Amino acid sequence: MASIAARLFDGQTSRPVPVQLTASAGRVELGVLDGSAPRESLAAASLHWHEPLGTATRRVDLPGGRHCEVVPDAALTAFLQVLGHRESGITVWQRSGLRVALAIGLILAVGLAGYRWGLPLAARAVAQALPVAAVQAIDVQLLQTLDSSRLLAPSELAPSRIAAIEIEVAPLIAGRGSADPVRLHFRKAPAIGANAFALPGGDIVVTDALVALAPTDAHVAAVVAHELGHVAHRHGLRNLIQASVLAAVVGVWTGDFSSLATAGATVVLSSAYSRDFEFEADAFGADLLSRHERSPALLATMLKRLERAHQAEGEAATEAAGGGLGDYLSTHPATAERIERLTGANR
Amino acid sequence: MNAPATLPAFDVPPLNPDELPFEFSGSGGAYFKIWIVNLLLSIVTLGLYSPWAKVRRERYFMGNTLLDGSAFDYHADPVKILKGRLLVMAAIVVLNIAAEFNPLFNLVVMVLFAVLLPWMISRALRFRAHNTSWRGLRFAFDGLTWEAAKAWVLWPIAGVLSAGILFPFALANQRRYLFNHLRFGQAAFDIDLPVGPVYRVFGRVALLALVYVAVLVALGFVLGGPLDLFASGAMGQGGGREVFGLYLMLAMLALYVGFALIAPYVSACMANLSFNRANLQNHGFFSDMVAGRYVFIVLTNWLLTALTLGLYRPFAVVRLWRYRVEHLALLPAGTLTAFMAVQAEEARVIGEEAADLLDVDLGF
Repeated sequence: MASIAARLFDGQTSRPVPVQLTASAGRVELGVLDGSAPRESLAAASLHWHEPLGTATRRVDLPGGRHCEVVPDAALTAFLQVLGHRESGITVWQRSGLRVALAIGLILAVGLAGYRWGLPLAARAVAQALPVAAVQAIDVQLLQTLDSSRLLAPSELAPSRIAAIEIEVAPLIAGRGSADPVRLHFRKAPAIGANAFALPGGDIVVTDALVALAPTDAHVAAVVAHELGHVAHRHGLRNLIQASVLAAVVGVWTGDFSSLATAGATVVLSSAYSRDFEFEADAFGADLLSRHERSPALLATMLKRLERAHQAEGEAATEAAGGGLGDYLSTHPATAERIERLTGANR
Repeated sequence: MNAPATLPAFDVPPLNPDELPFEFSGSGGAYFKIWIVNLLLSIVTLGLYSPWAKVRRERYFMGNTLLDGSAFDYHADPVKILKGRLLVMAAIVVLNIAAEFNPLFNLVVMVLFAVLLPWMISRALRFRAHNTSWRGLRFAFDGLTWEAAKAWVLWPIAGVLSAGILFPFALANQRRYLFNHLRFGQAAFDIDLPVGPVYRVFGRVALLALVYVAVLVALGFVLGGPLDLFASGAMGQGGGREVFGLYLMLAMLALYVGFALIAPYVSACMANLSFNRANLQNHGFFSDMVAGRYVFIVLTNWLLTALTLGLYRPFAVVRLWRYRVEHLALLPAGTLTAFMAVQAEEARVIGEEAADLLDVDLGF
């Protein structure tokens, strides 16, 4: 037998009624303290105990839409013991500091594993499953937007130069082991400088400055081989998927307290992914070049020249810092490491 | 914080206290445990647990918010929240994908959103009120979609078109909508909120923003002098450009933070304004938050949350909620024991109406 004091509410008015609850062998006796109502005997199973909320009064629902407020003290603990009440698993879990620490550890482990392996794998699966036609529709939109902005302008290269490059690139496109269409675009882009980039659906844009930087058309083709790697692995799409998921997760985690902080954290987190993408595209390009009796060193040369060109523009100040943190923060991994891998692939 | 040894009802309450403060008995540490377990379960279930997490969170906050020794309670059914969330998410995904392929859809989505938003607001308020109780009596909300549309779509559009001049009308209308349709049992809330005081709040905001920008510009001049010397002297041309870039970034950040703090400032002022002008039958309310203090709490919460990579968040939420609750009081016109539940039949109708629908967090 154990007794506790409580306040009863009948669900009809806000008037609190002081009561005493007495527990014994599966039953609870309910007695109104001022004796204004007869004693009641309730089956313990008809009581529904709400989750304990720290020091706040505990609530227990009684039959008939009524409920009681009880102070969570030692008397209540003894009372619940007599009733044989078992707390829910979650309550037990939360009470133990060790298990809470375990929860933190688990979240960290799941978070890190999801970030390092889960998300890239999921993004790849989704990106590969999307039909080519659907992705190409995105490309058309993107290219239109870029063309109508000031970023891209029509190419000023001689048509004969473009034709020569296209002849150089054609066997690479044909021999890359995929029937998905690839379209090569030449654009003048003073703001971007010497560069080439692949859109998610297989459209590759090469800037005039990059062509000017290349000693021969074979060098341009080597860069295109690298971009073909981005296309084959659907890096553009995977990047899009990964960045959106990261933004959503960061937003939930921080409670979206600031869109700027969310965007910043997302950029930092996804930059490590683009490093993997560059290595993957380099490997693809090197392999493609080797299979067509061309040297991956062509790509390495272009990387060197591109880095020097960007340094001259003062854009690559952080990238030049090389390894360490800068390695993970830059969108392109340290060029030296990429060149080393390419020349290694050559041997 | 120790629980009182006896329940307050057993003490002899003052017959007619002038002021009954709202109290909060929760703590950041206790909520941290709930939050971390919620988070873990939400992650391993890929978000499916999140409605249960929400209910447990609301129960913690409501259950630790006390008036006259009795806690509030939250009763929502997580399954219904899950259905609502899945519905909203499916709609967002479908519309986003559609917009990706045809930009015309963007326009359709915007119009659709403008039409759906007020409906969702009125539904969410209904759901929330119906699932909140005090001393066993439920709250209820019966605002119409059309009035929500006026307060959350039409007046804000008028505000934008008038370069912000009419925006206080939107805020005043939103507050009126929130209070005038709210009931506790059979008792109705009402608010008398003219637009004048809201304009005064906005006047203060405009003045503060002006002072803030002026201080930034002055700082710029003071710091700008030595910066020029530094740049042209030791660092040369390229270095100077970089320092200037950093300086510009800091200025942008200061501006951004300053403008991000307008929302909590207005929020604190509006909470004071509306509670001090609201009644529940003959009972009044009194809210005396200091807007500057509230903004300080929000700002330090951001900083600490960022510094701890998010782990401070449960403490931050508790800290802000505690400040709000502990600066709110009821001015009772008599005893608080006489509130009556609505009749059974009416309660059933309200319950059914509220049950089928959405619970969207709107951050009120």
